[in-house]
Amino acid sequence: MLEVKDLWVTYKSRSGIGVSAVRGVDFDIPDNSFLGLVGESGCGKSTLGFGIAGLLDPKRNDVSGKVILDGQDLYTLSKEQLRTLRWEKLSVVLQGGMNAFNPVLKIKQQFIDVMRAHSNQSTSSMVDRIAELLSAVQLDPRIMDSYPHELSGGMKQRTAIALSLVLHPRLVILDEPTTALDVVVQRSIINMLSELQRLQKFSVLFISHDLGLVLEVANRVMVMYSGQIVEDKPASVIMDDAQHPYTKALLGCYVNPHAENVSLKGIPGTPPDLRGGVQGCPFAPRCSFVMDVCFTKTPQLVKCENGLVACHLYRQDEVTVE
Amino acid sequence: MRFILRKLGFLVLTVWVAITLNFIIPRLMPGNPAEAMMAKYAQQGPVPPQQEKALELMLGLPTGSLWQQYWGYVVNIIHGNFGVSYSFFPESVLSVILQAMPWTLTLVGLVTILQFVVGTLLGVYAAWHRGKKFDSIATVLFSFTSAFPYFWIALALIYFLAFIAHWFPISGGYSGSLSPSLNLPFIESVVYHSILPAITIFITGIGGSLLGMRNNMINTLGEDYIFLARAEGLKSKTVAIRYAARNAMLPIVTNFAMSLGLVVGGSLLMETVFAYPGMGYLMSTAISNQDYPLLQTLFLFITISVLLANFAADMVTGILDPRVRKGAAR
Repeated sequence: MLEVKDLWVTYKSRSGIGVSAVRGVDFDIPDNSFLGLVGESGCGKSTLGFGIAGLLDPKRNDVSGKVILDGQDLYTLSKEQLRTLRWEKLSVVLQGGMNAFNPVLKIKQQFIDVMRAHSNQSTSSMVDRIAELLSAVQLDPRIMDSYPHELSGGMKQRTAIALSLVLHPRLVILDEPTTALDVVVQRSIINMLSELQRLQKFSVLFISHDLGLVLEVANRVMVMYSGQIVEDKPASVIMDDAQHPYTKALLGCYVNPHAENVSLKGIPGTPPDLRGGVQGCPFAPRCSFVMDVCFTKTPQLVKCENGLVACHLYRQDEVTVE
Repeated sequence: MRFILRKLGFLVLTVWVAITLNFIIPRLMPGNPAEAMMAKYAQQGPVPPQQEKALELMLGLPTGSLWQQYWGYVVNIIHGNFGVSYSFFPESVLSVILQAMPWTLTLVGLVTILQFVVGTLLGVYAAWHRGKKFDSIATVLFSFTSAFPYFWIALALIYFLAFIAHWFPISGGYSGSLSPSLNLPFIESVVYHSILPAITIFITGIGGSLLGMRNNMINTLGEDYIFLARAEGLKSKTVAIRYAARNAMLPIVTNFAMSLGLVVGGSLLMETVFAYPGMGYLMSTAISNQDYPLLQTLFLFITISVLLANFAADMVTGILDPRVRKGAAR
């Protein structure tokens, strides 16, 4: 349904050397899938999410590559075409949802604004739709008459999810949707989300820094590091069959709360500076399996047994050819 | 409703404080006007005590204890009796003020509103098209004009457009050959005389309105709900007005109400330079003639109008911002 081809996003900077936050990313999101995108802060995962949604400001970013949604390249559409496509095919839920609502308009009004921008419906049918959505996210439909400041953080985030579904989108991009919430609320929202996804069969791109959380809800996981996808595997196998040293290290940061002996490991070092280019594998300086070739040649994302991985460890042939 | 009552109570309280301060402050000054006049007369020869008594009675100098004075003062204010003006003797202070008020309210009031509306709209436009040609020019130009001193603009306009070019009258509120009445030649004359003062207020005020709105709007445009509104595919007009400008307006409303409240005081410098028969000119006359009753009443009027304007601002903000109305959640 959605295909991303060689997407590059560079943040422009006054000093001339831009920061490339997304560096040549390729992947696809099939219909009815729950895809998790994991990485640490600054790895470009949000930028990638917004890049897919066509929401990056061309004044601040240089974008190249293709994002093809149902056969249309988002970056070749006119402004008006892009406006009508937004939310009808592709919607967004922001982090925490705290400021996602206009503080001076009632919740109902903000749903109605969206529906009005895309279709002509009677007010009563729109109100019915809002009530239906709010019930679907386990909220009392009466809160539609509230102002955003009258709702709690969890309620706002549920409302934001309801709002994202109002036009039956094909893809919902959730950028750290539960990061600002406590674990109990987080859990109930995540369960509700995956339930909705199963019922309504839209696709989800779930962006998070919490690998444990993503492993539980997603059916496929992509791990991102320094603007590149380093591993892409079904969620069911990545736990046991993580190949990229970064994924392994991330899994070392995650513990099973049911295990009797728990050992936690951090990842030493910090991600590389993305100004200008990065030579070789960006993870090489922090990698415990590092080889000489890692510093000179950037590994490509290639097929492996269960998915895709970008690491020289699994490309013996290439190393010998060099 | 509770919100309105609370604000109303606060208004009544502050008005009372203003009236009381207006009573106390002059009494803290040493001496009284009669003594001052007496000292002047005494230089020309001795003044008989009856004459001094007569002067005190004529000026209505206070008698009795402070509480009796205060009570009499409050009763007089409620009856609209503010005493007799020294400089326009024997006219009462109230009638002098009521003559000057319409001039200021129409000219300064209308231009302040116009300046605010135009400035704010241009500010919205500049912020929405940030960094484009209009924004770059407007920001620099209006930073420049808002730094102009009021009287300097007034003098420059008089010198070039009135004194040298003779396009506009040099001073006054209407042509001296006409007597104030509601007929066409008089109204024409009033409008003609008000053009230069209006331009002065407009030029010096619009920069602040534009830059204030532009900055607020740019801040608001960085909010998540603006980003989301765009992602929702709302029309850019809806995003700009309903989502961005509507929120950026909120702090501006209070500023605007404050400046409307100050309108009653007139623009002292502008009216003095143009000899425009409004409240500001009246105040400068009162100051130079040591007309205490008039001055005191003018201060009271200005204070009360600022308080009323603030009250109005609170009401309007309450309508525009649900968070203020509920008065609780923050």
